[in-house]
Amino acid sequence: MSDTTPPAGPPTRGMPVRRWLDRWLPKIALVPSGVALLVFVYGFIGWTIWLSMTTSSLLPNNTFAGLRQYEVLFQLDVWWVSVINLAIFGVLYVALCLAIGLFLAILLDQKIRAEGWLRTIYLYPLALSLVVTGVVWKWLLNPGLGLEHFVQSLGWTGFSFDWLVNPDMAIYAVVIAAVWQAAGFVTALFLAGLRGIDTSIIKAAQIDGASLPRVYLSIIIPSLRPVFFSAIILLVSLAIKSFDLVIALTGGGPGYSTWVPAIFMYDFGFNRGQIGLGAAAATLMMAAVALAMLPMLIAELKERRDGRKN
Amino acid sequence: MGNRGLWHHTACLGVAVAALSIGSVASAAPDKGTVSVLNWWTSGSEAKSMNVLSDMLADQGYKMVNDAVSGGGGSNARTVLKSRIQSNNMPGAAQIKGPEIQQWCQAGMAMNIDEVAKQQDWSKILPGPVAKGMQCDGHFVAVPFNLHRINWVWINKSALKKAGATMPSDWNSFVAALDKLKAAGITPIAGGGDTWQVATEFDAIALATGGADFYRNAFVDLKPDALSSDTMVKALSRLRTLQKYEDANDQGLSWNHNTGAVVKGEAGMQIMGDWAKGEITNAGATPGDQVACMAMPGEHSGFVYNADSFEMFKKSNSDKAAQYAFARTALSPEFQRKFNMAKGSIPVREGVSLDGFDACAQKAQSDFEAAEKNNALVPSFSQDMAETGAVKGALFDVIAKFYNNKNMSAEAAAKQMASQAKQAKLMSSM
Repeated sequence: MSDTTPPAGPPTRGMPVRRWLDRWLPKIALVPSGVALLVFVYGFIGWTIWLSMTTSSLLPNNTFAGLRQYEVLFQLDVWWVSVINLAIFGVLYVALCLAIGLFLAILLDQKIRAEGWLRTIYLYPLALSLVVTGVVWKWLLNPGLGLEHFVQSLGWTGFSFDWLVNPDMAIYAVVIAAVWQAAGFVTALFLAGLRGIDTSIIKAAQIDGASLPRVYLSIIIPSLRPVFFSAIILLVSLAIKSFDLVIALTGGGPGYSTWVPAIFMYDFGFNRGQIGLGAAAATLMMAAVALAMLPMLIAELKERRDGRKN
Repeated sequence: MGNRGLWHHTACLGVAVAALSIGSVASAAPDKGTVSVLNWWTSGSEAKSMNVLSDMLADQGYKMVNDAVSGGGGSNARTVLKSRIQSNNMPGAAQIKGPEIQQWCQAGMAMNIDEVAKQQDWSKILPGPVAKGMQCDGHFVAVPFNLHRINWVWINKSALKKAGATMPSDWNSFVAALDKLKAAGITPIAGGGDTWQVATEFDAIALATGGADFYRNAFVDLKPDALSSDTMVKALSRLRTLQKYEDANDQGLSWNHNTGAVVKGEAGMQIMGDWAKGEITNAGATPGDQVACMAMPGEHSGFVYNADSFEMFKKSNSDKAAQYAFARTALSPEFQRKFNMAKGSIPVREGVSLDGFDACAQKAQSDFEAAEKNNALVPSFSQDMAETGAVKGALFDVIAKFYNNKNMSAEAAAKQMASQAKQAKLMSSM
């Protein structure tokens, strides 16, 4: 009896180790990044939320102040200017990028010549950093140096385009530069989406006598839904985070007329020694991102689950 | 080939070893202590001046580590300071000025340097308001480096001549000169909308309009009745007047670009602190000669100052000697002369010869002495000398709003100044 068991010993001792490793190695490998994520993303989100409820000024402290910082925040003109600017910027930026992106993608999809070249040209602005974009457009839009000066020198002396230095219009100048930067990228997304559509459906529709606009409205654009979803998620998060473009293009000016919440957060937190207010602004920005993303995520997940059931 | 390469390497190694041994000999000498100095002086002349200080300390056997952080007019350096304090790795000395000195001191971080102050008799050699600014609870915790004058107007003499105007002497002749410049097709004032530059202009206007007592009541003590007073309304109206002579297209241009425009004669004047002299000299002109300097005209004369300073932080005892040496050397007449000549400011202590300083520095010095006598020496609110960042930010917001909204009345702006400053003060002292 005792002779039969020993040969089986070593392999069975080895097998559980390997099996254990197979099972746990991926998890062990993920632990460091998981811990890092937990501490540096969720940990600091938690800390920021806590700081927004303290009296922190020059340095962080832990004296609880309830919602006092938020009360003050809501009384500040600078904050509301920042929020309204973000709303104007966000809506126009997302809408214009989607519209221009889709339009260019449809045009490029007409099996035209030199499509590769054109695609590269449209995509190229994305390769520039936002700071470069900001500086270039700062020169282009400056009335004394750029577009206005150029058109006037051609003879149209009445031409005026002073958005960049006009406090009421400067935020729209930011939209122009931002859309220029990102529209090509959205075009590429849509183009990839268009290429993925099954042509037999389109042919079938055409045989049934559907006009071209009808084909686009009823078949092509609805089937681009996932592309719209990814493009909107990307653009909305880019819009809420926007900071460097504004700094490079207008420096937040004239005055604070092109401030956005990210600039508010940075200036109050780091320049003005009001960390509590800065943290309150950061918390609200995060809440805004969550609010913008949540319904879309839920809708998309629901769709996917329903799709699997079918 | 191979052999030569090998020889080459060996030779290099030999040189490196020799350099290392020399290095270790050289660094063996300063063993009396080390002071790390956090600052944002990274531009040419300023960085060079810090090296002068470092050499002077090395001669005494102390090592100075120059932790210069560039960018953001000091805001990057302040962020580094905060994170270094959070991680318990505070510098020996950090460039901090104005009421922020007291803030760090209240947080229990500052080191008492009364011993050095007594040795050099700081209470006597420093101007009263400056000495007071370096103290906290009656103890010296910071050392001043210089005095910049803010309320200067820089005027291109040939542009003025071309426009047929004369050097202004009061507010009305000032505006008349601006009118003539405008008529001659020259941008009268290079300014143009950047909030910090507008606030710097307003700093000069406020003192010239209301005088030192008004300035102190409003910007140092934040008295609501001074902030919303008729004098403030008058000063704001004058800012609105000057705005008409500025080119709105200059929005977003930096102050040194604007100084350059004055030197080239594209613009007639600039209202700016005396660091503009560096740009004037770089452009090949002499301050006081091609570009004249004049105190901002108005009903009152005085001196709006910015004193750059370094606060000492509590460290272990072994570093104390080096920190003391840093403070002592910074206020030595030799360093004060070298440093301020390079920086464009004037020495902050008395008893330093101004031989070889330019005409504008000489004039700043004599105006400073007169202002000190008449109690007309005031700390600049636009350069963080009078208020903490929170309050300064609130004042800047109102000035920016007023400047960029032509429909806003001076009365409304003055009222908002009073209420927003109070709010910010409350928040920062919570």
